[in-house]
Amino acid sequence: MKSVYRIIGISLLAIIILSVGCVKRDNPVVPEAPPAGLVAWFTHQYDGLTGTNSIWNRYPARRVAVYTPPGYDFEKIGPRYPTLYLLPGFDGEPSFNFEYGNETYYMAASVARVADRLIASGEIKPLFIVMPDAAIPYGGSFYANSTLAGKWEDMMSVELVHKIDTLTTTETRTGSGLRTLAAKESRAIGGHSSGGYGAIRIAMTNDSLFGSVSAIDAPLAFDGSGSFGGIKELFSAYLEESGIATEEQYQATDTAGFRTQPNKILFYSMAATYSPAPKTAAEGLGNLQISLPFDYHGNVVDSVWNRWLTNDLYRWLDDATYQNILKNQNLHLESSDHDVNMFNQQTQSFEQKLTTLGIDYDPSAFSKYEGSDARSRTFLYDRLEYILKFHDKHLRDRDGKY
Amino acid sequence: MELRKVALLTLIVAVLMSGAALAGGWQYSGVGARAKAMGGAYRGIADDGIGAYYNPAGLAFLQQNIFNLTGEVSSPRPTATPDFKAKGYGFGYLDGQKRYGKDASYLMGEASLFFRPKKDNNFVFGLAFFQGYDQNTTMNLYQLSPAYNSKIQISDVNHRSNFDVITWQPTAAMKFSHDRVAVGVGLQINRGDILVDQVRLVDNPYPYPLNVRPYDKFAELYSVDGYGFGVGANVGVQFKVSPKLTIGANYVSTSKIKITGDSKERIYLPFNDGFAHLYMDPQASAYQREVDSTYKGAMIGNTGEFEVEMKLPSEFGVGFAYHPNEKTIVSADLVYTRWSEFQDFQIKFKNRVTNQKQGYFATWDAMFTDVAVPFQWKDKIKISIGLEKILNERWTYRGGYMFDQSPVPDETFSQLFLDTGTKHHFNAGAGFKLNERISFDAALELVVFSSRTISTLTDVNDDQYWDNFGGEFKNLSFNSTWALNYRF
Repeated sequence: MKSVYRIIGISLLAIIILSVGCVKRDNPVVPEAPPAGLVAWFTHQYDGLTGTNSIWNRYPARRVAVYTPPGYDFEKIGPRYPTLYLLPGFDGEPSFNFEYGNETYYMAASVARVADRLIASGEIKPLFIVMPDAAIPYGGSFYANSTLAGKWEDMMSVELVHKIDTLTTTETRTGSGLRTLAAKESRAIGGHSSGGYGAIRIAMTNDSLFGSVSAIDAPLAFDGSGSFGGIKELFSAYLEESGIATEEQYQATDTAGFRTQPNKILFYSMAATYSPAPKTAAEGLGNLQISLPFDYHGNVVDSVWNRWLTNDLYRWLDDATYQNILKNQNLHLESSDHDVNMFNQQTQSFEQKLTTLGIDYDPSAFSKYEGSDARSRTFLYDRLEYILKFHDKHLRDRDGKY
Repeated sequence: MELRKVALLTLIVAVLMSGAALAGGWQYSGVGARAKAMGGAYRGIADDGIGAYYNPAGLAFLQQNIFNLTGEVSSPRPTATPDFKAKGYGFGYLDGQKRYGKDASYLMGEASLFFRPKKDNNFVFGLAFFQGYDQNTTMNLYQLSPAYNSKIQISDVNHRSNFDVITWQPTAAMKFSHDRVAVGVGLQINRGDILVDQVRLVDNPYPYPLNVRPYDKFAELYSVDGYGFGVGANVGVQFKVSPKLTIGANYVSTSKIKITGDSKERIYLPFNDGFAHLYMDPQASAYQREVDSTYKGAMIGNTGEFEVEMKLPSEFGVGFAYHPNEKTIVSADLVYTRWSEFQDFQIKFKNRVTNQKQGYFATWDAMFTDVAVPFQWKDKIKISIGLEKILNERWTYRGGYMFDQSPVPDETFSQLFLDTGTKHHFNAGAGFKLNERISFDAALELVVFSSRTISTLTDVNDDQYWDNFGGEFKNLSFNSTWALNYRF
């Protein structure tokens, strides 16, 4: 009898172990791709480019890309959505192409798919994302009104917003308009690099347009702070990159090969915006119609540098009017640990001053991973999630909800 | 049964089993139902056919000719929760999702046939066949994110590894000194099989800003399927210290197996029309076409052949068997395995034939490179203890335990070899003697693996590919072994 119990016991143990071992587990279903929104284009002839010379208004009809949320139907009456404007930065690399423009700046970072995912998961509300082309012949806009480069501050604020809110059905490629919520509380603006500078500047000068503003690694403190010299840190890099050691070489510089010279593109673009100069100007680069804020030794040229500093948002913070505007604005700032132009440090200088002034803002920082490219645009795809979530908190939908 | 028929049956079984021999765990926990029931503490015993695996010297104490046929069923149950990120940035792995292996039960087998010629009572010879190594995992751990490519999707079988080594071991053993000392020698003819499907992340070869995320890495799925042969040796010695105590030791040499077979490489290019017409200069138009083609979301690839060398580790084991009475055996083994000799897989591809008829670019071609899988494993020990108790003339009960350290460091741990950590083998079994010629043995084994969490991706050989796999890994294995012994 005893051996029978043993046999039964051993058999049961064997059956249990074998049964457990044979259990087949079902894998969780891999999530399917969320419904995809569309990116539509239209072109707009900006008033702000009218009247500039033939080089600069060569392509006055600029493209604007617009992300529309999944299911949005241009042809049917439906709900209206809030709008986020993303101003492009530009690259001091062969990628930049004036003829084509840079409205694809955020599309290259797959912004549409990021928005799809967040909308599908309910993390953000459906929205439009407007991505204008802000390229200029020397590189990218710095979003101030310039007699040479165009009135980019006006164009990217009142003019573009009005255009988007009143877009007619015949102007879009798809043959329909955009059903936007035309109110400050339903508009937001943001940008990366020079685009971030533009977003903050436009939010400071157009208080009635946008309910929230964000910037990633933006040049917000031209003169730096403390021991950090701001944009001046790059003067020598420009001279070295261009092989300039004499006054003759300094004057002889031109746009040849500038697409492979990132510092040249940066300074030409800024100079076209902040310090355009007639061909006869003593301190200017005659052929280019610009003046640089440093000489061939890299020493500051005060007369030009001071013009640049009038566009320095760090200094604007000394003005009580701008302080009050930002105190009432929803502001998000991001800085990386690896921006080759050191715009990340300029953003951090700006953040420190905001803190000193008691102006609230939503800070965020990010790092590169080992082996990745040392440019903050490399991680735009990842940061867009944070940017979209931030703006969503401050965008009012058609039901008045945030 | 005639001797020739038994020999023929052994050969047939060996050939048939070689194709079906699959199980979990790279070095299998042991072979033979009696030995496994005792936790593999068998170097001081090894007195049956399959003992040739543990200690060829033990065969010298065979009392009769013996034929053994063993079947094993192994049911590994691995679980992976990927967290394949660098500084928080993901790359398409199913991060945070608990993923199970393709749960299945695998059959493997062993057989042996040994003779004791009547004219020489001190000499035994024969053939043993067994599978000492196996790893078999199939998992779906990666999907192309819509942000990377919304046009196509990668195969669900994107992380599969099946590595086997089966061994034919002709063995001879002899005893000396009034039956107190025995030595045995086995020639190991090893067949190694490799089947791999594996995603690896290739650096985007194009310059900034074409390489911004999520396009900083391109997704490659490479597959290899092949086999090869190598030789080694297994030598052992046993010494009967007293009628109650036997000690044994064996040494298994390293064995290099050169494996060749078929290969397939595929790179899933990204899709993003935001890069279209990025370069408009007439001088750059050819480059523009290449960029446009690259970001159209196509799958490019080739078929070809590959070769790789698999170097099995040597190991040295010692053990004892103590008979406190006629019905009881207590045994223990300690095995030192030189896993550091299992150096790496250098998979070299050759004779590639691209599947692209036209519009193929040199930059694309350069992305298809050989695969280096560094191991940098550490030498480790296994400790086993076993107990056998004869209850009556028919029934024998057995139990055992094995402590088995993982040689795999975090820096090279991946799903290729899911040896997640220290393993605890719990074994139990029984033997049933039908008559003087036929007996049966059975063993059950539960292998509990320590879990492992990889939180930092590393590139130990600086070839721009990460060599480990971020995430949390668990494993559990259920094994059963069933044996028929025929003495004649």
